Amino acid sequence: MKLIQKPLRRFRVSTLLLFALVLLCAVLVPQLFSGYTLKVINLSLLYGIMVLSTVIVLGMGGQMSMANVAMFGLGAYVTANLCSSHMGIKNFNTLLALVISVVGVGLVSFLLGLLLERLDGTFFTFATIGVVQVCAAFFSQYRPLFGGPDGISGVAKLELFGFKVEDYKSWFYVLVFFLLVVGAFTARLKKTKFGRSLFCIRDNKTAAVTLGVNVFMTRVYAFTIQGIICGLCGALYAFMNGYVGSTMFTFTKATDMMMMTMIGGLNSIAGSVFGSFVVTVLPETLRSLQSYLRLIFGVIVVLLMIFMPTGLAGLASSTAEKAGRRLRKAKEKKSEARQP
Amino acid sequence: MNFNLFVSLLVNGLAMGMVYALLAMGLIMLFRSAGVMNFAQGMMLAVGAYISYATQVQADLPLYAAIPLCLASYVVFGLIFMACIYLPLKDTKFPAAIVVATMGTSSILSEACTLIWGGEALSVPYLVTNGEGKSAYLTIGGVSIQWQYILTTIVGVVLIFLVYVLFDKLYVGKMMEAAAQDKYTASLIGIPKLVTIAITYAIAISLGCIGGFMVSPVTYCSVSLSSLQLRAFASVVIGGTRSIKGAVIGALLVGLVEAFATVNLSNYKDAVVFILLIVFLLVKPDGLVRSKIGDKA
Repeated sequence: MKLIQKPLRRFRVSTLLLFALVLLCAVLVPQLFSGYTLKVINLSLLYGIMVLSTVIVLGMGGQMSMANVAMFGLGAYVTANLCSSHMGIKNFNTLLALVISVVGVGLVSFLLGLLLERLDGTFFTFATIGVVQVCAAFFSQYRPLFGGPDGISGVAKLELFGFKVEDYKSWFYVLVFFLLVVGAFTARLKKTKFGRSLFCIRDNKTAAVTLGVNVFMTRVYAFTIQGIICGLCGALYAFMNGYVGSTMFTFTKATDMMMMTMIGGLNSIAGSVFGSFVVTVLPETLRSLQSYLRLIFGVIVVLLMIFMPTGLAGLASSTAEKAGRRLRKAKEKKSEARQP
Repeated sequence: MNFNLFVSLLVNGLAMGMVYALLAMGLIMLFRSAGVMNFAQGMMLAVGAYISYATQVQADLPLYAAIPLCLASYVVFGLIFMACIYLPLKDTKFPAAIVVATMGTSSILSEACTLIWGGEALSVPYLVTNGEGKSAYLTIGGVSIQWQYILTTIVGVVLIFLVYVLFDKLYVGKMMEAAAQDKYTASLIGIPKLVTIAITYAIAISLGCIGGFMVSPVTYCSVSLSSLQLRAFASVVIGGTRSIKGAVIGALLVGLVEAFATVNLSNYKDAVVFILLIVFLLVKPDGLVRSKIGDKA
């Protein structure tokens, strides 16, 4: 019974379980699936990493930022420019290109954060939508940098320490690695001073100010972290896909991303990965229902928001809590019965 | 740029600005009274356009019968929208849940319209036509202007005036305003909260639908009309975050900038509008018109 009463230990057990599950999946999935299915699974893993960035900004900070798609696109285009013949650069080190994209996008999002974080709530969201629209217009029109409507093709393969990541299987492992790194980072962030300041700003801004939290800069840093993670995803996407086209980085994608976050659960790391999996993989497996799929999806999202606003992960944790409470009650009853 | 081009761009920009203003007013009304940022507002344009198509083309009703029917169905649609999206979510602990629910609604509406009317763009008749069913032009001093644009502008001005009268002159509007500012106190002095919110929804949704009714002959009727909502968002931010007056000014500005951007920068039309937005955020983060009501702590 101590297992349930001590939250710390329960946390450890659940973390271990999760880790075991991830390991199991990492071993099993590439054996079970191949070809196109694995490609779709890879894409959902990539989205999972991006959704984690939304967990930081929205789940922890309470700010709905749509700019993740724009940062994703920027990262992808920087990498594509460095590692393809589009700009006439040859044999650029791919790992270096990855680092440059991440750092570059991080810088851009820091500057954007300084500009946009002056706004509050919904108007911040609108401003980030503006960023998405400006970026989308340039991505799809400006030829010298972004290839215009044709996009940029022929991006070189990612080379990690002499090992070329080429087939879907090795991409799967690379993505699982990055997902674990970013997931662990997010989980750790929740326990730091920075993470707690973010929670505090979300729950009560006035209180945060009173407690000496620099609201503006904390938000800017959160926005920058989101940008860095999305830039990483963009670079990985460019390497994985070999082609970068402007249709990936539109406002529609941003709303899809938001739905993934909310379906999985706003504050859960495992849930957000699950959400991205549901939104990406389900349309591929239910091809026979193709024309009704988005309709059904919309209905599911609305119903989910009405009945379980914490998403599927919230449902899981509240069920676990209820079960724990019931167990505890049963135990108490037993001990009461024993001592008349 | 010659004078003819200038005038036609001006009229075009004003008319589109009016459509954005209708959307933006609805957005702000919903935000103030119900605290809901409606990401399905752009779909109201499409729904309004499809209903207009259904009455004018499919049912082949004459204009004098189609217009009241359309208006009635817009109001009913607004009430249904409120019952489905607002009522179940009004006590939610997560503000993001409402926003995502409206996103979901937007995709439901878009898919439903595609399933019912097909994915292709449909043409809706112009309100004023010449003999061949094409749009009629008004020609003054060598400058010819499409009647549809003029009518859109007129309808926009009238609706903006009506909203102004409602909120500034009528008792009902003052009640709605009071309920928007402080729900608890309003309910203490006997203002029915639910009714005022229902009226707000009906008006806000209808405004969007009327915008769709007016704009669909020019743009054709399709679900892609919903993308215009992003311009409405931009105008809300430019105009000042909570004021209807500011939203109207912002919308007109967005419409005009967009129209004149088509001359040299047609590919970057979208970018120009949103760069304007970002410049405004830099220079005037509070928007053009400051709200009299401060943010609640």
